[in-house]
Amino acid sequence: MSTEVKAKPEGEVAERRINMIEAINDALDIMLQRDPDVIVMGEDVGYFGGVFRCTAGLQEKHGKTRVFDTPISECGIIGVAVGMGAYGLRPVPEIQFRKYAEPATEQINDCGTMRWRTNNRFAAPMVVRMPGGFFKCGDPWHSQTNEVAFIHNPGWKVAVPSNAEDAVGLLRTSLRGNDPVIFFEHRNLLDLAWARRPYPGDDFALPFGKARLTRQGTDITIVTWGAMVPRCEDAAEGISADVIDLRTLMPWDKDAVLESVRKTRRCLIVHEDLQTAGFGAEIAAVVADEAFLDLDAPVARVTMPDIPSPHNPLLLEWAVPSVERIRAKIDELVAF
Amino acid sequence: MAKRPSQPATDGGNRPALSLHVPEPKFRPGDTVDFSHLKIPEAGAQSRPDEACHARETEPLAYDLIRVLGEDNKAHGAWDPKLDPETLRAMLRNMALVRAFDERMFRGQRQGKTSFYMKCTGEEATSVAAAMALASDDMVFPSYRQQGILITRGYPIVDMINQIYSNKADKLKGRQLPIMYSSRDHSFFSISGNLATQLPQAVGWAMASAIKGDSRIATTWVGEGSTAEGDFHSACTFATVYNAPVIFNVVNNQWAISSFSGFAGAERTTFAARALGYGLAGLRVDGNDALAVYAAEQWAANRARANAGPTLIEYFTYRAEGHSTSDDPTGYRSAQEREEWPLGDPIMRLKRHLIEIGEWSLEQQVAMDLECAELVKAATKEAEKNGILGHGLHHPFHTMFEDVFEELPWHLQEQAAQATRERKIKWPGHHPMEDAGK
Repeated sequence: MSTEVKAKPEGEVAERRINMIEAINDALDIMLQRDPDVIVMGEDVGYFGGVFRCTAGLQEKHGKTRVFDTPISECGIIGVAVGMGAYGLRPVPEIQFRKYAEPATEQINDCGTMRWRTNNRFAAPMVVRMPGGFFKCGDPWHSQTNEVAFIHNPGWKVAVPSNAEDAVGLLRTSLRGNDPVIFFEHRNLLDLAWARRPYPGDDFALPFGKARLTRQGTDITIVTWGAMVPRCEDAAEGISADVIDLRTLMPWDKDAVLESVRKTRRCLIVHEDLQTAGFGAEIAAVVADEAFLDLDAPVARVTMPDIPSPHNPLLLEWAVPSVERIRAKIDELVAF
Repeated sequence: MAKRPSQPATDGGNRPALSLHVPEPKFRPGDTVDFSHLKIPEAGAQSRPDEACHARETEPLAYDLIRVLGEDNKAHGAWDPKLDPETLRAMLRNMALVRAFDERMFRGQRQGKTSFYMKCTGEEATSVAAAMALASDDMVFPSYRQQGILITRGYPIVDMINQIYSNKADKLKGRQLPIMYSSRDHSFFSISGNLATQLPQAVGWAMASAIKGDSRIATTWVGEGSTAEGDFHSACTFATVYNAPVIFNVVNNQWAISSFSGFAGAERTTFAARALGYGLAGLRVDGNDALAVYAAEQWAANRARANAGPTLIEYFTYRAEGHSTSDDPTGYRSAQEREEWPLGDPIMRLKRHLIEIGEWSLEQQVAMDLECAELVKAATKEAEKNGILGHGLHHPFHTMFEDVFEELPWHLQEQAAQATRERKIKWPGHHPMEDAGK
């Protein structure tokens, strides 16, 4: 996978601000133009352009055999994508909502082990686009993130972009790489003003495993990703904090986290996924293991409790980590 | 704690009590076997529709049984593929070689040279004859009992044994189960331990081939038992939706470990009949009749290649041996089943046919069997020079961390380094396998 970060273009191109939907649409459009092996498929992605409009106009532009609808069968969608990947195509299957991926669990696992168990005789690279996470009202199917489940499938990379620029850069790198990727599109970020960014250009690419320091400070390190990044930024208002947007979870940027923790001596991990055995537990374990003597406070987490997402917005608001809850934990750690 | 509903329900009035049907095979250990309930039609009695016909025209064939080789050992009817004697002899030898290979590998497992083996005894035609009807570069997505395809396509037997022995020449570096082969050069996809996953994968490969305007088709094999998996339904749906150039070969060998075919629905209908609901062509074929297998596979291949649609073929056969070396079928089925199986043995039937048409003799058969056994024995000896399972580490320790991803990410580098350190602490001294790959 390319680790090169192309410089952002100056001037006119950079003026154009786009939301994540446009970002994803643009990146797919360009890859469809440049790589004749890219295939986009999923429920409602063809003529209609996807329930979130991420594939709008792509079928008309690139034709029905490159951008098409599929049956409502996630096992089938990922299963045929494995066959297409083995043939040599670069499928980009869409799973309409996070928990719709469950029927594909077996195919996802089967795909991830392909290169290893055939000693490179076969591999099935693909980029699985998948919206999820909280948005207005919750429910157990559309609103969970549960990204940690994919990290336990050996062979899969996992991207969790928080904004339009990162979405472009990570999607492009995913499509150029030769490993299967779960590309998580957070529902609350798709059209959020905070996540809109200047268009980073047609060649912008971001490496996996390189975090971004969105704020710099000295008193605490806040490690987060996806839709929790803007909340952590708000919560850190007036605090001298490093806010680290991991951008990818497999692989994740351990060096950036440890370097920051050694400076600030405090570490808070904030994620939307459930607490028990969430990815924050892995980060906390590594920080405790490798930076124990640098810490001035316990490693802490703010996460969803271990419950399905409730529908009522007031319940959901309490369940998803809020700016207030994050801030309270920051204050507690800084004062420790 | 939630209360269980009171039972039985008492408010049913005069409605009759319901009863659950749990399937039970006809014969259990010690039972006298009588297969007279199986309808075995005359060879040659089945019509052969045009390869490009509407899927619905195959309906009678989904309930019938396509047969070519008759009791008189002659080939009959519209499905006779009319193969030349040379091809028939090659088919016979491929099947005989597969059987000799299975015998030897089974014994190897009993001798402790490997962990596990699966024979395909009695089912050789469903792999060998089918593979011979395909182009050599048509993609195959096998299940775990299709070693006949690899042998037919000329994959080196010694490489198969190297993998079975998990030795230093194992092309898959000791990672994969003994019989889960894969070879891109032989258009033979990897085998999965999650059954039926290969079905949608084959459809995807076929769709890709169609998207690219290629001429190669995809074929896949699955046991009757795992047609119950959701992947089967997904695959049939995708195949029909996109008219994918794919063939589904359902090997109905009557037994899924200890569960008879009734637990996949065989008491009510045929597996070939599954095709009809999807709009696929469906053929039900005598799987122990190598000529019928060849003819059906060729029909479906021609159909797929002409963009005329996918086909589901049920090969009706019998698993003459246990599921695997870990299975003892005497615990759940009657030993008489194998002897009484009304469709006979595929190798014997083809042999008798070749003799009948004056192209083969018993002497030639004996010589061929001996030659196959010797060939496998020689390959086994060759493979044993590379070691066997249990005789130590055959590949550099750190190789198991490689190829999870295209490039080794930091966390696997760390974990590999840690594991290597721990080995050196536990076993100080020289570690040739650790150093070998560095």
